[in-house]
Parts: sequence; structure tokens; C-alpha cells
Amino acid sequence: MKSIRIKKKIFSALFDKHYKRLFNYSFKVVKQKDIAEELVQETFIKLWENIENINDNERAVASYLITVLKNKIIDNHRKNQTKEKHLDLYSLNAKFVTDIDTKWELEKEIDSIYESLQPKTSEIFKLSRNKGLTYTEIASLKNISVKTVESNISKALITFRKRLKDYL
Amino acid sequence: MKDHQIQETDIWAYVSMSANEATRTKVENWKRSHDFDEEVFNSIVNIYNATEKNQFDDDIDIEAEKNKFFASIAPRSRKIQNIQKYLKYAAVVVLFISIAGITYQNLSGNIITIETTYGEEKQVALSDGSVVWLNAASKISYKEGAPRTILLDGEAFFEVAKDKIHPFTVETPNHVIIKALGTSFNINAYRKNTYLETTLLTGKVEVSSKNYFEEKIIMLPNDHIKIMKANGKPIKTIIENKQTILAWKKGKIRFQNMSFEDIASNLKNQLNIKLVFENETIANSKFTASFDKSTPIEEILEALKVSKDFNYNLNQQTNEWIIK
Repeated sequence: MKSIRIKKKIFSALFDKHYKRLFNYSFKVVKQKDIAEELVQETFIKLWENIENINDNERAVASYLITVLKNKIIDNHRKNQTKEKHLDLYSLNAKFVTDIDTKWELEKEIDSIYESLQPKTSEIFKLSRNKGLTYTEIASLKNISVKTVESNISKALITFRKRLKDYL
Repeated sequence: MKDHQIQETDIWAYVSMSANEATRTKVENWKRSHDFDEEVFNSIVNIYNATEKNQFDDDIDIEAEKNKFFASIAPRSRKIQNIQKYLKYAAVVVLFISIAGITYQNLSGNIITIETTYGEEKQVALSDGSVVWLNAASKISYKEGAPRTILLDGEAFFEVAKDKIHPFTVETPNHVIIKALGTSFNINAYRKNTYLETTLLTGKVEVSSKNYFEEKIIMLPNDHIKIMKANGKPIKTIIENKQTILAWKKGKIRFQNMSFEDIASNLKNQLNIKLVFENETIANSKFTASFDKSTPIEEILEALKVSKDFNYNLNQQTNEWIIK
């Protein structure tokens, strides 16, 4: 058993590393900021309680977090479903779990596409997608030619089209 | 100009609304031409939609979430709890220094009123970006053009949009004023209740009251203040379980160590069910329980009966439940 002080340090680092991504997943599915935050909080609490039983490697922790979060989201949905009590609960739940699985897989695939792209390509694509910058603006910001910007955007688009084909 | 020499990057620029005039015209012409490839176009639109960044991405405050987390695991360790206690005192001192008196000018105009009836809930988006969840049998009103100065009768949860210059104030029927800068908090101030209470979830607020107490109270996250109307004394506690406070937002009714009388007042508001007490002792005894709003009243009463000894029956004429 690790001392509380060390355990807190470890968790502080885990928050820095995983919080943003987990919140992102959570928010995309539940669509409400406070609930999304709360579910991620509960996920970390569960990890806090069980960390002694989890393999001491980064991958194991990351996949534990994502699995617990997904289950929390499904539980939360079930709890909120009292209004539909008289409808066919099973079919509703089954549909929700499939929906969640699809969204989850899509988010994972997008994450993995960003990771598979060259860092430069990924950065340029994000400047376009997230900041809404024009090719000219990106070119002058990165001190490269508009042609280079376009060829990077093109590379990203080709990868996205190929790998998201089954999802979209 | 050869329209069919359209590039994916042109479509992307068009779809992501960062295209220049020439590219926009080029894509629009292509869309109207025989060369238009709908599949390619749609796949780019889909990529655009799927890669949407969540709107709060830049607002994520990992440090704040970390603190929230360490606070919630604190009861598991005395040591941490002590550290947090000192931190809190330090924070109170800092807040007293940093809060400045800012006044807010009302614009004159019509009064806007939003209300809910028994058993109803409403979510209201105010023009300043703040969001209010109005619980059953509650009412908010404010002057047109001044949505940051609100009168509340009943219960509501506020998620206040940040605006450092214009504080957000909520006044209750007993002239308790809660003033916030950018934060989320719950106020329970039904006229008929014997108490009023407010809970702060994030940010900071200041509570003041001409009627009840002189000094302003500063609230920190997870602070809960309950004011008994009988003596006007504010009692500050730290909430362990914010689920109880926000249960109504999730279609649940929760009571934590609440007198049967106050529970009855709650049930009246939430479910329009009337309880009448013929036994003073049972009216004052306290319960902790949680129900879905869809639970039949018989089931709720049966559950409460398990812990305290009482009987009940329904008066068919008045539609009141008699508790004795």
C-alpha cells in the first residue's frame, strides 16, 4: 500500500494525462457538462479505490479508466430512464448501448487517426478544424507555403476518409 | 476555368467555412455541375462533423477538477482532510480581501416572469448566457434587459455565465440576496418552507440579508447554508453528497435528515400531494430517503413507515393523506 502522499501525486499526474480525453468522451455522449464532469470524477474515484488491484502499467490504467467511464455512462442512463418505465425498457437500453458503442468506437478511431498522422499534419489540420483558420493564415502562422498547408490538409483528409468509411 | 479540377482541400475549406471568395464560387459551381460528386462532398462534411471539438474543450480546468476529486476522497483519510481544512481557511481570507463592491445598474423595462406549476420543471436560458433550472411550483422574474438581477420564489439551480463587471444576484422572498460572479449554485426558498437553503457547487458567492443577519457570508464550493426562518440564524455546513441537493434536477426526490413536515411541503410542490399531520411528534421526526418522482405515494409512505411508527389513510373528500 502506497502512502497517501505518493498516491495523490500519482493521481495528480493521471488527471493531467487523462482528464481532458475522458471528459471529451463523456461530454460527447451525455451532452451535459455537469453530468459529464461528474461521471469522470466518479471514474477517478473508482480508480482510487482499486488502483492496488490494477497492473502497474500505463496502458492498463488508461483502458481501465475508459471502461469504467463507459459503464458509468450506461448506468447513469439507466437510472435516468424511470420515465420510460412502462415502455419496453430492454429494447431502449439495448439501443442506447449500441449507440454508445458506435460513438465510442468513432471517438477512439478519431483519436487514433490523429496519433497516426505526422505531428505536423495533425497540427495543421487542427488549426483548420478547431481554430477555423484559412490556409493563408496557417501558412503565415507556421511560416510555410500555402501549397505545403494544402498538401498536409489533403493528407489528413485522405486518411480520415479511408479510416472513417465504416463509421460515417 | 475548369470546375472539375476541384480538390478535396477546396471542399474542406468550403465546408469548414474558411474558403476565400474564389474557392467558394468554385465549389458552388461544382455543386451545380455534372461533375458534382455527392459522395466525396458528403464524406468531407461527415469528417467535419465527426471531428467537432467539444465546446468546453478550452474551458476545462483540470486543476479545479483535481481539487474536487481530492476533496471527495478526503473522508477516506484524516490527514488529507486536515490539510483541506487549512486550505479552506486560507481561501476564505483571500476571498475577503479580493471581493470588491461592484454595483449593477438596472435598465428599466418590462418584468419577465417564468414559472412552473406543481410537478413541472423548466430549463431557461437567459439572454446573458446563464442557464436556470426551475424546480416545481417556482417562479423567477427579472426586468427585461437585466437578466442578472433575479427574484426567486421556490427552488432553482443557476449556472451563471461569467461576467466580472455585472454580478449575478438572486433575491428570495425573505430578502436573502445571493450574489455571484460566475458560478453554479442551488437555492431552495419556497415561501411555505420553514427554512431556506443554498448550496454552492463551483465558483464563489456572497450571501447577505437585511432581515436575518448583518455580516455577509462568503460561500466556497460545496458549502451549504441553511437559514431557519424562525430565528434567522444561518448554519453553514459542507455538503458530502451534492446528489441530495440536485436530485430534483434528475427527476428524483431526496431527503437528508429532513423533518416529516418539510418532506410534506416538498411532496406538495413536487407531486401535488397533500399530507396532513394529526400527530405532532411524527411531524417533527426526521427522515433520510430517496425516491424517483414516479414512485406512488403509498410506496413512499410505506418506506418511511419502516423507520418510524405511524399510520396513514386517505381522506377521499379532500384528497388529503392523514398521518397519525
